[in-house]
Amino acid sequence: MIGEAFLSVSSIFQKRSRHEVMYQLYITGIKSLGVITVVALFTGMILALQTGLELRRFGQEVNIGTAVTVVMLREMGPFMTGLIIAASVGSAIAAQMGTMTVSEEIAALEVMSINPVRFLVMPRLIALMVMMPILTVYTNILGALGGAIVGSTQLGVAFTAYFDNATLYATNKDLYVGLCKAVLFGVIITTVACHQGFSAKQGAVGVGQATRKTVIISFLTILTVGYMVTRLFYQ
Amino acid sequence: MRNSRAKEISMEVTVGAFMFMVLLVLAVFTIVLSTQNIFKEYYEFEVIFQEVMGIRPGDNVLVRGVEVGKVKGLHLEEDGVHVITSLESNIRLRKDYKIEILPSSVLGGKILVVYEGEDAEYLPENKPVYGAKPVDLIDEASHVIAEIRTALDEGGILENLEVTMKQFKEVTGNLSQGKGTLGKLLTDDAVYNDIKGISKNLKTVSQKLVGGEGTLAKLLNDGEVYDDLKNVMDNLSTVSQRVADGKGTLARLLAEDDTLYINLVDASEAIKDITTTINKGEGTLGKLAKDDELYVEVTKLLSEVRATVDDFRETAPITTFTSIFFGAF
Repeated sequence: MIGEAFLSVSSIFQKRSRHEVMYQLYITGIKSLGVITVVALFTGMILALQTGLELRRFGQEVNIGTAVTVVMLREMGPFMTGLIIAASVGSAIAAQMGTMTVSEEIAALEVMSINPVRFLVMPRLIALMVMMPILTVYTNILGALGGAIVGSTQLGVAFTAYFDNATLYATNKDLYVGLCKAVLFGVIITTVACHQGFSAKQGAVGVGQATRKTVIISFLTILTVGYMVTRLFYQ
Repeated sequence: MRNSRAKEISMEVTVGAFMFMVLLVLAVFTIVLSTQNIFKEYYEFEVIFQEVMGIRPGDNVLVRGVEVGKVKGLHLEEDGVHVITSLESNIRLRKDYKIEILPSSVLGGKILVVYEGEDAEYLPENKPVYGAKPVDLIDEASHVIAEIRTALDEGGILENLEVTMKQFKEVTGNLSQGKGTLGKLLTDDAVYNDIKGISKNLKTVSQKLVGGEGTLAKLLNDGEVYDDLKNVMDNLSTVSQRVADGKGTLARLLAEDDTLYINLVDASEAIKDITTTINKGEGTLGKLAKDDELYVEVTKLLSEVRATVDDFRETAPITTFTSIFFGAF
């Protein structure tokens, strides 16, 4: 299904497909900004507080900038974004696809010789593959900002010291490995959600099951793949 | 239809603006994290090491303690490990340069430190630059610990330490019991009282000195003493000047001219001869000194002279009268 979706990427230049991709980008990116903002900001704040309190015992609280930034770039940024998108967008895709399946709309599309994968899966796949790294960058920025707020207000680390320290050990490798993970997570969420949606049976109960399974499988796969990518790049 | 189109355009603009902003931030992030200014010129500098102790690309390069660049890469070749650095400023090495890899902290990490050297002569541009063997803190610490252990085991340090501690314990015991001079100093109040008395006396003396009592105080306070001393010194100066000028007997005695000395030697030899002669009893003085007969004779003579004088004294009035009496005739 995913291979077929990739093969039909060329149809993105058709007007209808372009509009659908843009709509999915809007749903995935702009509509998720609220929840992502809150989650990213507080993730950074929690990281800074927990790390900073421990580092303060050794008089090294100034290093929270490094700790928060590196952790956000390498792991927490793509991971938190993946979880949020899996829970919000992934579940929505599964619900939509499931409803369409149980109400035989998918079958109707096939009858009309419209490829459901190209028509439904491809725009969502493109939207998630593009928007996941974009949202991850946004999460990283807000996470680092949250850490800076906690550092400044609770740990006595000035903003300039925090950001000087933040860029001291973080590298482009950390940033781009994180973004690669985000792209992979986008593919995983779309695949799982569309697969579960297309596999939905038994009416509304089946749609609910598909939604629940999408979230669970996406979470587990994100965790597993996240570890594998980290293992691949940081040996 | 128009509303739908406007909504669609609005959605596209929102998504586009959001993506543009995030991509812009990503670009800034990339530049910041690469810690390289794309508008700045960087100089490549290569150093050959035999051992690099795990230095990695991205580690800092310091010149005279200032961070001037980063390690860009390293590759293994037959003549050693070539470490390529990217520096913000070009450095010129002198003949006595030194480049070494040091630990950046106790917890780990490495830095490449460059000492340009102080020699007057610069290193030729194309000459390969070699780095010193890096110092491994853990290795050094292990070595030191091994040496300490060997010294403890084989050098008898523990035994010596035990004996020393025993002796120290004994000494402190004696001190606490007031044994020995030091013990008495610590325990006996008499010493304190003596010191107190001495300080009291010193205080009295100093008060007297300040008050101008006694010779020492006068020496310290009275200007007359100073004047006297100055006069003495002036006189001594005059005397020494006269001696230096060769004036007076003393000056002549000290003068380089040996005449007086020779005369004195001659005179002393003559005196020596005379005294020798006298000792031998030769001559009049010798006989006077040595011959008792002459003494007896002289004594006898003196007795006779005395008797004669006495006789003359007794007969003098009669003689005088007689002469006066007969003188008239």
